Amino acid sequence: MQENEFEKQLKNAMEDFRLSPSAPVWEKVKKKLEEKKRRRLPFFFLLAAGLITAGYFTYHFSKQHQQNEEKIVADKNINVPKTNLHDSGNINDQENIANQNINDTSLKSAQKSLHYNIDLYSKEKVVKQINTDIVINEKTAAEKQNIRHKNSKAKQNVNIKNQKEKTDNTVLDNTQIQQSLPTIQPSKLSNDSSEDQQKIKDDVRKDLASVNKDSVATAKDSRNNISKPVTKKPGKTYKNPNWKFGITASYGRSKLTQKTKNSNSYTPQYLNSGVGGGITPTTVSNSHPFSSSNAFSIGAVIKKKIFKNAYISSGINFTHLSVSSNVNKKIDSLLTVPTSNNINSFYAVNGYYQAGSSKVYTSKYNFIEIPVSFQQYIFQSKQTSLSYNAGFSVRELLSSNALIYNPNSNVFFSKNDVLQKTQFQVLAGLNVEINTGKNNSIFIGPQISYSLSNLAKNENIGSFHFINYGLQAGFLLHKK
Amino acid sequence: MDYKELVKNCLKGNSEAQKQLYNQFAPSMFGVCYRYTKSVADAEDVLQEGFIKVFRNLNRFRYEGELNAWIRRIMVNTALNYLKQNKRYSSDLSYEEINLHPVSSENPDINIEAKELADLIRQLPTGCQTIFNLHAVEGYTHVEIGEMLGIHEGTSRSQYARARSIMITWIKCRNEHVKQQRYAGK
Repeated sequence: MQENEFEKQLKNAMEDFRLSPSAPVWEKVKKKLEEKKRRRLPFFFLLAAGLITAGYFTYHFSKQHQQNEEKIVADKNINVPKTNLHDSGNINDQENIANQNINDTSLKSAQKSLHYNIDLYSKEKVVKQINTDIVINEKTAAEKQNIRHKNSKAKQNVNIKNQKEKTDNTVLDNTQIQQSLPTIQPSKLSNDSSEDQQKIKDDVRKDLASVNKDSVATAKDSRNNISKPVTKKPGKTYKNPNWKFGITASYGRSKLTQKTKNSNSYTPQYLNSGVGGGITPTTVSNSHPFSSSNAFSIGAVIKKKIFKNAYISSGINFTHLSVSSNVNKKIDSLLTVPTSNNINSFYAVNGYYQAGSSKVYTSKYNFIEIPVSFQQYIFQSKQTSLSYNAGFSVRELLSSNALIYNPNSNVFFSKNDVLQKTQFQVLAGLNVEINTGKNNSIFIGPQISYSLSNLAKNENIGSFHFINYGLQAGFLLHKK
Repeated sequence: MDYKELVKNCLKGNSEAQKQLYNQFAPSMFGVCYRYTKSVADAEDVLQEGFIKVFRNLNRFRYEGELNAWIRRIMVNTALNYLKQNKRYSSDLSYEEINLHPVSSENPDINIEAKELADLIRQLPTGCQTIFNLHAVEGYTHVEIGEMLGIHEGTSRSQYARARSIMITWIKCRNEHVKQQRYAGK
């Protein structure tokens, strides 16, 4: 009793002991707190920027799609104006008729090819092409009229019959078109070799070459089935391969969310005091016992196209998650842990840690994981694309050195038997994919997953759910 | 303002509330930090670090106990970490088991100002100072101290006995000195 008198006096004296710290202390505290807020800002900024970008691309893509559809309708209604050569009245010359026919027929043929049969690379390009052709046609006609008036002898240099034969073909293939013009026009322009005429000639040649390039694949079909309409593809569409497969890797952080039972929960009993045993559990701690730590995964993925711009993907991953806890020295004493809701059924745990600050213990979890997710492209071009993915995964715990926290006694213990080996997760993310070659691509993007399963088998121990987030990247090979 | 209201406002990020909470608890917490360290600058470092932890973990405070006790625990833990991490202390922070000192039965009156008493505690060797603070002032048992510091319970007991003995000697000397001064004054 006497011994305690000294401590009592000392404690009383120290209870009222107050000292004023200097003013800069608060300023430093305030600064540190603001720094933390600022550190959070980039994350929210990136998230917001990501959402805005996704929204913009979605809007842009849908708008572009709508415009393309409108243009297709407009394009179908385009009637290529015929030249006025027939109506000019005074042109009776067979050569000019032939020229007109050649050009009209060739342009019409090109337009038809463009209109119905050509696998267009660009919708806008087609419209522009047709308009250019029309202008050229008109220019050429006007030019012909000039030639006709300036030098009627020019007709002697033209092999009308040969050209006529060519133009009489109901369908001209593009090779014929290309061959015909250079033959006609130099002759036609032979007496008037102005730069403009040469330019027109070059333009026509270029345009027809362009038409020819685009239509090469379907030119034969066009001859056989010219009236049959073929569905056009809008815009610069990128045809997704049917299959994609490759490797993925991700790195980020994992943490455990915790829900503790506050009342009527089972308090572990301490058995066999032993060394350092026989302690009374300290007061219940409600502080979160786990901090986030490193997480990574590596694996393989396979994706199957299910819609025009959507895939279903699966794969297999090795996933490593970890969380850290502040603990004190290990107590070599027995602790009982309930195995079920029946408090008479329990595990005996040999050794445990009390929450404290002596050291940081990292609990590691190694899983094999099978994710299944739906992926849809919200923006796609030939080079890059943006997609979101959402799905679920199943994980099986392979190994762990995990500490389980019991809030009722404020202790950590290690017992893999109390861990739920099979875990179900929901996952979501964004991906930016870049085509790095004809048949391959790389992708990168943020991913997040949340475990729906409790990490502990028994809810009396607590309710712990994994959440992990980070960046995922990968390399994919494409197969048509 | 009710402390619950104050905590809620702090959690909302209200800097005025944070300052209010700091002003309310800083003097008593600075006293705690002062006892565990050997200089005012170090005590202020611990106080600063401790309050950052307090504000960052305030969402974990469940209003079940006293806020003062909760903050005090954080300060003590922060001080212990500071001592371990700081070379000036860690080199001197010897918890080696020393020969058991018989616990002195003397209980001199502690008619000393709190500040002076705290200064005496700070004169103890770092290991003894820490254990003396934890046991005599904070009221932790030797088992708990053993777990907190990662030492054996017996080490804590012997270190405390030594610290207590030194403190009693100093207090007695100080009391004698004061008495002599009083007689001299009369």
